[in-house]
Amino acid sequence: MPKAKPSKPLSRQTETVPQNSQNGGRFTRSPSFLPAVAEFAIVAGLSLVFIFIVIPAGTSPGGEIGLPPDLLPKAAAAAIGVLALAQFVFSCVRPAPDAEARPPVGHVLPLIGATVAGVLAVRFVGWEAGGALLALLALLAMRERAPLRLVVVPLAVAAVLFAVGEIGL
Amino acid sequence: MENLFLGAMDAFEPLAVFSVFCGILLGYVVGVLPGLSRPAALAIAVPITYYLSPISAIAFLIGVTKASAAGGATGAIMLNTPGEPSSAATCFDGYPMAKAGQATKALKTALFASVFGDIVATLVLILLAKPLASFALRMGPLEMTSVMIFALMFIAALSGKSLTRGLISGIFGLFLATVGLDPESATPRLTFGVIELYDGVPLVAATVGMLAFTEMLVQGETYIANLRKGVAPEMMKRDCSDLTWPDVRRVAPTVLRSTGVGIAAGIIPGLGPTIGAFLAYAVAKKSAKPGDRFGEGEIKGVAATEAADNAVLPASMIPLFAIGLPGSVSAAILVSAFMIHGVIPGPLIFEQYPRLIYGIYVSMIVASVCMLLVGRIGLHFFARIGRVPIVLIVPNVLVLCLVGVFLERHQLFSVYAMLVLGLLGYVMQRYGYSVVTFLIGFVVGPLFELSLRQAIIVSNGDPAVLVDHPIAVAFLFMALAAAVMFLKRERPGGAVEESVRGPG
Repeated sequence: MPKAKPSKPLSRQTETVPQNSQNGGRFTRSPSFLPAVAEFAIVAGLSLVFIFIVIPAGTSPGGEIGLPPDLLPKAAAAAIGVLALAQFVFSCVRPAPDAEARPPVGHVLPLIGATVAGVLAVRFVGWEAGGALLALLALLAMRERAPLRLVVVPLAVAAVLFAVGEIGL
Repeated sequence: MENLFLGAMDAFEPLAVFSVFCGILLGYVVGVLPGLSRPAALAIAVPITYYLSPISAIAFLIGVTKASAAGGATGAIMLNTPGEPSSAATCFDGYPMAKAGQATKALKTALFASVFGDIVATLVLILLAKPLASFALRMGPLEMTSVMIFALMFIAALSGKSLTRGLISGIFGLFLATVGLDPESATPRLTFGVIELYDGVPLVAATVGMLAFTEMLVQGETYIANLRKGVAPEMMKRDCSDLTWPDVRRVAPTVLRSTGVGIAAGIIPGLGPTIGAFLAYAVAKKSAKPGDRFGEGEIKGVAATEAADNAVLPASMIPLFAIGLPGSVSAAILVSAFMIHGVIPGPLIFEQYPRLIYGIYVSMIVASVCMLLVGRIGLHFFARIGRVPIVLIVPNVLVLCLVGVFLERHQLFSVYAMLVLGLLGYVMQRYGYSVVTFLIGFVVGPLFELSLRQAIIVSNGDPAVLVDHPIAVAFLFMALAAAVMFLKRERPGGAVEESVRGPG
């Protein structure tokens, strides 16, 4: 696992913003404030959606005996909402460790697309052809252009899947 | 005694021994390959065991787990690329040793230290699990609920950078585990008319999706990023050095001490092999003698990390067998394997399946011996496997993920579930939400809900009854204290380094 980069001190992470206040004071705003707001809005928002829409729509009220079926789902969703608030507060009151530098999400999209296409191919044309297509598309998504690999790997996958089917798994 | 004999007979059946051997081979390959972690490999291996007997299935998975821990050192020593996150600390001294022309010595040290740590931890498991289970049987629902809250708190804090995000992940896992039939009224819950969800979200789809599929996406992403930057892996040449008796005598105290550290890391839920290995390295470095050159090719550094790494898994099965609580993600996946074969881990396992438990114990010892033989014979061969390019690993593992989850129920629904959960896992991982904590929450979810419901019914919803349950109060207090401690330490450089965290 790559080692996390040491975080910069808070003073370097802040920017000074002029404030139109009566005393002409200034305040500082951390650049991580907006991502923290976005994270809170998404997690807490989802928690509320689950509590008020998804869980009531997906659970029956239950009988007269015992505890209601929606007890734990609602408690869990509420706890997630509270923790999202706590995470937001912590993000505001102290600097969060720098996020690990990750490649842009665009790098992984072809691989996800290849997998989705492979799953659909399995659904419509069967395991052997679908698996071979998935292997081929995944190789292409990873920028593999060697003709030998592009031929041999999908064929090998198809052969293995055919054998699995023949064995009767 | 009779059960031990019967269990040993089961463990020495040809199919069980063959399963261990295959598991060891697969585990070594997985451990050596940098792109595939132990939990991911275990998740893929679980579906292979559907058609095996319980003892052969568990023996196979134990073989995979143990050997992947040992195999992870090969890449760390030869290529400076740990096959497992837990072998990352082995790079510190293993790779400099290889560069200095002592690769064989480093590889042998890693192997022997791994086997020693593993066998000692297995013996500790055999000695401790049953007494602890007897104690756990006296614990009521209130105590069980508080133990699980305590464990989730620890796991959440140690599996990622942020305690709150870790807790959100774990509770989200608990939430997803509630999908299916309500345990009391048997009414559908969050199924939205999807019949396949009546049995809950498929366990194998969740583990494979969250671990193996997510990891392949991350590996693919990193590979493409490196390709763009033009980063090429550094190769290492072989040498003719060998391990001598004076070397063995020199590292023996370090191996003993590190095994103890690994056992402790295994018993405490959430620590896992990566932290265990780094802690052992830190302890070894702290007790260095004049002349020891940690970080520059010190044989003790290799021995310390590998002994601890391999001691963690058997030790992490102590809480699993004693109270049904998986101490690491590998143990959580083993729970799914147990459940597929109709066995529920927990204190009652010693009453209900004594023969199976003793069979597993004997299989674990057999696995250790197999690991030594396979590791010794294939020392240089496995070093070559580490050079298989990731571009060939990812497509093949993706196909294996699909096939594996399909085999669980023979439904494409499981494949779709894996895809959705895999993408969810990728997003969670990208934004600092631990998939490990999610999975442990998901696995202990049904047991947690049952204990919580029983606790609420027994106490009539009155928290004052806690006064009569000191063990429950103690665990809740420890959970609270742990939360405060981890929150205080959750500052840059204050907590356990991110590099030492990883899926257990």
